[in-house]
Amino acid sequence: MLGFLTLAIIFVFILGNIQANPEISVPVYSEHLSASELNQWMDVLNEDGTVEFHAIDPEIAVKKLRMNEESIALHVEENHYELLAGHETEQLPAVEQHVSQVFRKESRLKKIRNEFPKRNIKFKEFIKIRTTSSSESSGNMNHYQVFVLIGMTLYFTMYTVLHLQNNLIEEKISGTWNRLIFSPVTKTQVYLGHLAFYFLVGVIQIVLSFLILKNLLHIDLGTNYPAMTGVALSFLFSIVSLGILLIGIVPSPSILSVVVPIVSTGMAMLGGAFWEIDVVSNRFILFLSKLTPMRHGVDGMLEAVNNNTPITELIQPIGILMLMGVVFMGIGINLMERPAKNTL
Amino acid sequence: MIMTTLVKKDFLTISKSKSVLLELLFMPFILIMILGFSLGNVMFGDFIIDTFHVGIIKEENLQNDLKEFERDLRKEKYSEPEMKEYLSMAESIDPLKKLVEVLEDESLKDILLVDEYRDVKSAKAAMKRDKIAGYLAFPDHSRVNLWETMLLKQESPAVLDVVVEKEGAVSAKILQSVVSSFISEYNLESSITLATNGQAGREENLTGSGKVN
Repeated sequence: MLGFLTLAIIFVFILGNIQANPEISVPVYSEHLSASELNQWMDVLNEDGTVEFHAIDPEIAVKKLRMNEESIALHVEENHYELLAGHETEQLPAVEQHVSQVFRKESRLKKIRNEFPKRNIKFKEFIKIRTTSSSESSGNMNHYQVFVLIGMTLYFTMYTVLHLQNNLIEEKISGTWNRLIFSPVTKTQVYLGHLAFYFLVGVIQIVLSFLILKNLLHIDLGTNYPAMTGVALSFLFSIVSLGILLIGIVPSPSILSVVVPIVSTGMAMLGGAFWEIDVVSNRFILFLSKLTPMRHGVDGMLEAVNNNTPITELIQPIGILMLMGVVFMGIGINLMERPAKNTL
Repeated sequence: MIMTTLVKKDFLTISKSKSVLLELLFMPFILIMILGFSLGNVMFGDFIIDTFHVGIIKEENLQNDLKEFERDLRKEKYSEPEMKEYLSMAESIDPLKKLVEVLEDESLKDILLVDEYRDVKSAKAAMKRDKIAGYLAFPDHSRVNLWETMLLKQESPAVLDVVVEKEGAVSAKILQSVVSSFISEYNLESSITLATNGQAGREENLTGSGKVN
């Protein structure tokens, strides 16, 4: 469990920090413009603040591009510009749009100023755009970090719980399970005892991951604890039940140790723990994703953290997770009981 | 010789162990399949975006704003013919109307569709039901403020609200990008038209003077 917890923390730490600096910075250089002319361009380019432009020597710019230290550089001259891209990045379209907008505006204003030299032609912002989003997340970055944190935590918790359930199958094979069945302990107690352990391990792992990562990366997870707890507990219930189902299907511990990584990684991929499910457009994959507990767990948790949705409105994901848990558990226990009966 | 025996022994051991063979064969196969199907369109450049809907607040809103503008003009004691002219000009320069034309353009029809809503409340409700990815609306007085700034040379700021369901989603980014390009063009052309009293011709075919390497 400690190993998986450490892995979860390392993954989130690396992924969260890679994307932690979303500000786009583009070096700008010119071969013929004077320093003051270049500065004028810099002021115009930096006006709206979405992309940061900084002046740089032409040789250094080209060198940095060649050495892959910078992915984009802007070459400005009096009447034209050139956007040099070392390789395609996701920032390129945004930078390209911004630069082309600025240059079109400036060239149009220049042309009109030449046409009407006596008039004072200034760009005036008649309409300002105010963008708001209905979800109350504090910006894109926090949203991504929260997503990575939730996705990775749930994935590694699922992995830990399923991996630990290997013990059950070993007990079954070594005969300890049958001895327990013959002992005065009731079957319900045997099952509840075992399952409560896996459930608690999952709870501890989720709580520890959230606590450590929240403080390590300073991610704001809000205070919607009832909803988060509700989703986490129902998710764990469905995972523990999934484990029972796998134990019922799989005959030996060695095969289970093969099945667990396939199932947990596959479900995490399908359920949107590694990337946001919005990116996927394949309808079949989207349908499959709805069949995994991961999808509902991640969705419910994101909804609880990002939108502060109260637990009463999260009944749908929680209900689906509980239902999955009951179905998996029902089939799993049934399958587990069969060989036990045969050996009797 | 001993080395080849060792290699042979290891191969034989692996071939006997079903679980290792299963893991070796199935794990990458299944994971690649899921990865390919779900992210294939993003990774291999064939990125198809599902068409999304954008809400616009209905025409009635414009009529209400025009009435309000008329009241303001009356307060300022403009003559009847002047008022008429201003009102018709106001209607013709309504940015939302032009924006809808841009959004309904043939080139965008595969990406976004425009839905009309009676008021902000109904648009909000539609967004909550995932019917639209976002909506565009002028907050109260904003459109009147814009007309007063442009036509009566008063200084009152106008704001266009772009409300998206999820900031950072692909649909939100597309909507924001289209709206911001349009508004920037609108501001620029309006500035030029006002500064030159409409003498400067509109440049229809503005092309960037740069290239991407």
